[in-house]
Amino acid sequence: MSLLILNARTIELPEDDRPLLAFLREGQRLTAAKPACNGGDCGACLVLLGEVVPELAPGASEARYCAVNSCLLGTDRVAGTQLITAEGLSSGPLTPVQRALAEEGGIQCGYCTPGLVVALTAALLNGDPLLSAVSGNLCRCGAYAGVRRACARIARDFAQRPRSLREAAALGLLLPEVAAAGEQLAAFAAQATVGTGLAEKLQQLDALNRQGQGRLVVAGESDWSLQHAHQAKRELVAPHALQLHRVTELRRIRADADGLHIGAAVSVAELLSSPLIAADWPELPSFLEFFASPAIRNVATIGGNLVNASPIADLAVILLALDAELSIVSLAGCRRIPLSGFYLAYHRTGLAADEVLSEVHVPPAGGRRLRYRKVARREHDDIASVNLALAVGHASSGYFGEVSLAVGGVGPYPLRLPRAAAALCGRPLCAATLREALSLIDEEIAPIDDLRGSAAYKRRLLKHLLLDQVAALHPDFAWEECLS
Amino acid sequence: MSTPSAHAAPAQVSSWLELLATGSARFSGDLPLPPGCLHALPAVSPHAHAKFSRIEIAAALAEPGVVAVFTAADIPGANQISNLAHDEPLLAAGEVHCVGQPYALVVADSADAAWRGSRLVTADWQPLPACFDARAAFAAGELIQPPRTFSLGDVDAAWAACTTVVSGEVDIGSAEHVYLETQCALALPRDDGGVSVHSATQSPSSTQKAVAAILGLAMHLVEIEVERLGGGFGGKEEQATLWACLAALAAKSLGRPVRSWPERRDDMAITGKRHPYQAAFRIGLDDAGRFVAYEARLLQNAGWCADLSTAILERSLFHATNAYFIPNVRVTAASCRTNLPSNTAFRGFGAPQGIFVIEAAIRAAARELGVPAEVLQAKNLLREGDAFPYGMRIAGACVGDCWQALVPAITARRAEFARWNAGKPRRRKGLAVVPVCFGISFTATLLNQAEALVHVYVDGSVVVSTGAVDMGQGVYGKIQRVVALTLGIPEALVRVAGTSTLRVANVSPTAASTGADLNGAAAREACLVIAGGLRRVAGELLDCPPGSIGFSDGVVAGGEKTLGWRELVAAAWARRVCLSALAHYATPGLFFDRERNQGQPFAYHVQGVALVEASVDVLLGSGRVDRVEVVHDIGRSLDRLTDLGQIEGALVQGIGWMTCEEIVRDDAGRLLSDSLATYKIPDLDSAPEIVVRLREGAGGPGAVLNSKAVGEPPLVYGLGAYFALQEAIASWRPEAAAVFRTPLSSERIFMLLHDVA
Ligand SMILES: Cc1cc2nc3c(=O)[nH]c(=O)nc-3n(C[C@H](O)[C@H](O)[C@H](O)COP(=O)(O)OP(=O)(O)OC[C@H]3O[C@@H](n4cnc5c(N)ncnc54)[C@H](O)[C@@H]3O)c2cc1C
Ligand code: FES
Ligand code: FES
Repeated sequence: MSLLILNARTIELPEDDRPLLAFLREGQRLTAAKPACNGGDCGACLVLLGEVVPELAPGASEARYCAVNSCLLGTDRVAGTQLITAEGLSSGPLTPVQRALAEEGGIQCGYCTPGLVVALTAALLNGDPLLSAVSGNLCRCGAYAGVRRACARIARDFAQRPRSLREAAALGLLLPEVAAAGEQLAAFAAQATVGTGLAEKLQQLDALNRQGQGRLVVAGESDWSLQHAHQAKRELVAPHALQLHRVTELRRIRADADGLHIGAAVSVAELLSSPLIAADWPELPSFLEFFASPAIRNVATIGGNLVNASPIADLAVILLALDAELSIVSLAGCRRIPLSGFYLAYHRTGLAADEVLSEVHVPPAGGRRLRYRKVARREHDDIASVNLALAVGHASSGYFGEVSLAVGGVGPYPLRLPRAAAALCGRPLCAATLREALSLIDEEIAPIDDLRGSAAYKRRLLKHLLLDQVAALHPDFAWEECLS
Repeated sequence: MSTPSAHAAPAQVSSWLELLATGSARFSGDLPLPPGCLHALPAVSPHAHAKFSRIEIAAALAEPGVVAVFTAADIPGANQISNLAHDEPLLAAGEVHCVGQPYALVVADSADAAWRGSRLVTADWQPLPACFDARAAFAAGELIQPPRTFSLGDVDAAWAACTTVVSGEVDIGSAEHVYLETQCALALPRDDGGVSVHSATQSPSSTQKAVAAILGLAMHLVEIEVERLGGGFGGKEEQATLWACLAALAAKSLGRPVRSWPERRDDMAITGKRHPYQAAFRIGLDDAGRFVAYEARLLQNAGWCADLSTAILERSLFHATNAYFIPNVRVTAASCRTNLPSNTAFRGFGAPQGIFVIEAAIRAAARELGVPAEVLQAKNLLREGDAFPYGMRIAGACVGDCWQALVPAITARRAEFARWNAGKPRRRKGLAVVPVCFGISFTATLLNQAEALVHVYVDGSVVVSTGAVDMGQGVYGKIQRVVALTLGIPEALVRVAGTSTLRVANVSPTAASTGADLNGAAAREACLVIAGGLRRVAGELLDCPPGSIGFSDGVVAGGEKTLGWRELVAAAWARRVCLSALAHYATPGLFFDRERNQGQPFAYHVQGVALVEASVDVLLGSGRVDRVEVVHDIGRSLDRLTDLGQIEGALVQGIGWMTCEEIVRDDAGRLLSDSLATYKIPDLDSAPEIVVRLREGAGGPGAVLNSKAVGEPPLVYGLGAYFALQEAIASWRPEAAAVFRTPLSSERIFMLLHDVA
């Protein structure tokens, strides 16, 4: 039996994994979180998820609260956590966040409002910038100007951010009894013993495999739940998929002489804020702000991004350019392969059914710089049409150093472009060099027509992305001369 | 429930906005499901056009949880939900005309089971040829009604007087409403054989009429209630009816409550969208840059049935010359029948499409003459008394004043952008000025009426019911204010009740930006009736002539003496004076002759001007609208924050339509952009900085308390996104200035920049 603190109450979770949003709305009659897109794209369904994560800081007892999409998560995933819905923030009188939205014109029809309130409250609890915290909240009434005014007011009123739930409650941001329940979370989570070790997970996976159930692991569930529409009898396909997100070994980021070692269940948000990552790759966090929405980044993991094998997976493209390697484990042991050998075909990898991706290894920067850019229909919170990552080594001025190049959206899976990269390596930084590389790109890619653009568009755009990235590294580079 | 300590003492009445802010406001899908409630979803056609003779329902019935499957044969009344044209069955019988057309209804004990069951129904399809293109449909004579022409002067003779004549073609794309709350209806059978339906509709009475017709009931047995809408934008004016009828059919047949609530994908695949238009124009100018003649042919892609298409087409005609005076005009428009889900109302109701064409024509002329478009626009703005091509003359013209207020900004930006682009930077800039002159009133004159029911209770509190539906446009707040101002009482004493066909009958849809004007005026009439009775009582109590009594802020004053509002109400009741009133309002002076296409269709016009600034990264093709400055005519605003929000929101919607929003279908007519992952609406980051100056002035006849309608007109400013981006693109690739095809998505911009072929 799994338990959850829902606002101020402790409740039992259903036996089988259910879609969380439906559970809240129909099972618990908490209807502030709204279904609007059912695919993680709008933020109307946001709830606050509070977790004690000893995996990250051993012995930690402080809960971390972040906004997550309840339309993507299953009830299994929230066992041993506290969920705070908009109902847990106020019981009538407005919180300062709600008041600011109401008084500054941030509310029209109000359907998106509870999601906005949750996102802003989460940002206040975490000391995050307010505007970027709501960058994934769509408002079809277009009340964005009002939302901006509200954010400005909240920022003025909360120059000093609350340091605990109790302080937040004292400031009127949430109900005191909900804050009080949150203070019990550490003890509660310890009881609930949600976290298990990797060895145990592998045993369970092996057992499932023997029953012929296939590889049923989930991490952030952001991709998995789209592949398993709840209407299509998900509960029969996967009564309980194995949760990887609480496996201690998979949650760590380490740095040593061999570079960075990133656990497969590390979230994009954790990558974005990790000092270890920033020390080696200072520009990487800014690139990750173009990955989905803040709420998706809170759950989406690096492992899920690689295994899901989408042709435009942002992290896959970045990690290919960084020459990353993977550790893959099963009961039989551990093997290590280069990421560039991982993808076999469209949405297919070399991972066997009894295997789990455990760690991603990134070699030391050694003076290399990373550049990354994606182009999408909408600049933020959109899947790329085409994306490109470039890692460049030190070079004497006017020349390229070592170059490694990876791209997405132009083949069945994320690709490295070794020949185009070789055409740049050590060569003079000039239009002739680039033109040669661009013509090699033509031979190395095979885009197709789809919803993200025509093949002709993606082919040409990819070349321009390379010029763009070279221009970003060398501001006086004359990109115009390279256009055909 | 505990009492929260850190919060301020609870206010007496939770205002509308407070309910929304806390998330406790109930939308239709938030209503508690009654015990035994079932769920209904339609099975829809996989073909764009096909005949069928047999529907296979066995597999659906065998699906666990499925309770019943209905087809056209099970409909007790008329199989018809169209309000105007009677060409739209609830469930297709024998033939389907678009992908997504319902032909069966699956009812189950859970929404998931209904979803699965709806996928298990099939039919013996015999596919037929389909057409998706308005030009092809026009050529084949597939028209919803014969083409209509609006004209003024003598166009054929006028070309001779022109020194410049330019022609061109225009392709305007569709758009999905993406009301954030999907369509929803909950139907409850009643003991008297009738049904009550909670429906997320903008049009309670047409929903009521359709439900009654489907069930073969008199309208008095059908009750429609609307809580509030999570956005409508026109998409729930006509097309909420389907869901209400589906739920009602199942509820009445099975004797159990039934909810029909599609998820986003189903909603997007089944419901109609904004009408795409294809058009050709010709414009002629004299050597002073004055517009002399304008001719256009507009082809509207209506989809498979009429819906509101003919009314929408008419509004395209009304606004074909936007805010300009052109002495010789002939615009012909045809509504073309294709095999798409029937397109429907969407904020602006055809006006933006008509306006896009004239704005494109002006850009084409400006290019030909080598002058910025705003030079031509400024010379031709409507002036007081100028004639429209529909027999009306503009009264209270102020578009010129609004333009003047923007001239310093336009001049400065024009110079700044010229300098900027001359440096051949990677990010090119462009601007567009877009005026608007939008007629207010339903163009179907009969719809310009409303009723309001006001009760004053003995404790002095007041409740008002109207036919208006609140969908975020703030109409309830405005009605509340009208009632409070008219009775001279604090707003907290006034509650606006949810919309119910039981309280107010035969209501016009909340649409055409008229919600506050019509319903506010009716509410005001009702208040005046009640105040008349109260005034007589107050005259007696205060011992002064009733005519000298004043009501303000809860105090009733006459001569030197005063009396509290509550006291007066109690006294009036004790004297058996009526404290309730039902009043009717009809906008005076409206008429329109559809034979001659002449008349006085509008109460007044809303005017304004926007300066839209955009930029484009010529290497990657990414564009953005950076800033918009608006001067907008508002009369006397009843609620500045609401009006500001309407302008800002409409602008963002217009920009989305012109840029990132693109409906994509495959060759068989199946919708590919069927979720918010693939259909991209503007987000916070892409919404530009918006500076709005409200121009307060005279209201105009029919504007309640002189507060002018505001819902739709500002959407037209969004068209500036196209023309500003186009200018930025043309600074790199001049040929792009001749292309008028929306949307300017990042792909389209890139192709214009680098692959004009
Ligand atoms: C709205 C939305 C926006 C998105 N935007 C982006 C974007 O901008 N860029 C982008 O790249 N992606 C995007 N995605 C896709 C997705 O969020 C990411 O790919 C994410 O990183 C997946 O991680 P996850 O932990 O949620 O994976 P899950 O959904 O939990 O799992 C995905 C797949 O990987 C498998 N898996 C996960 N972890 C492991 C492991 N350790 N070992 C073996 N198998 C494993 C699962 O079995 C499953 O098959 C978006 C998704 C959504 C819903
Ligand atoms: S419903 Fe849109 S993100 Fe969950
Ligand atoms: S207020 Fe309507 S969607 Fe945001």
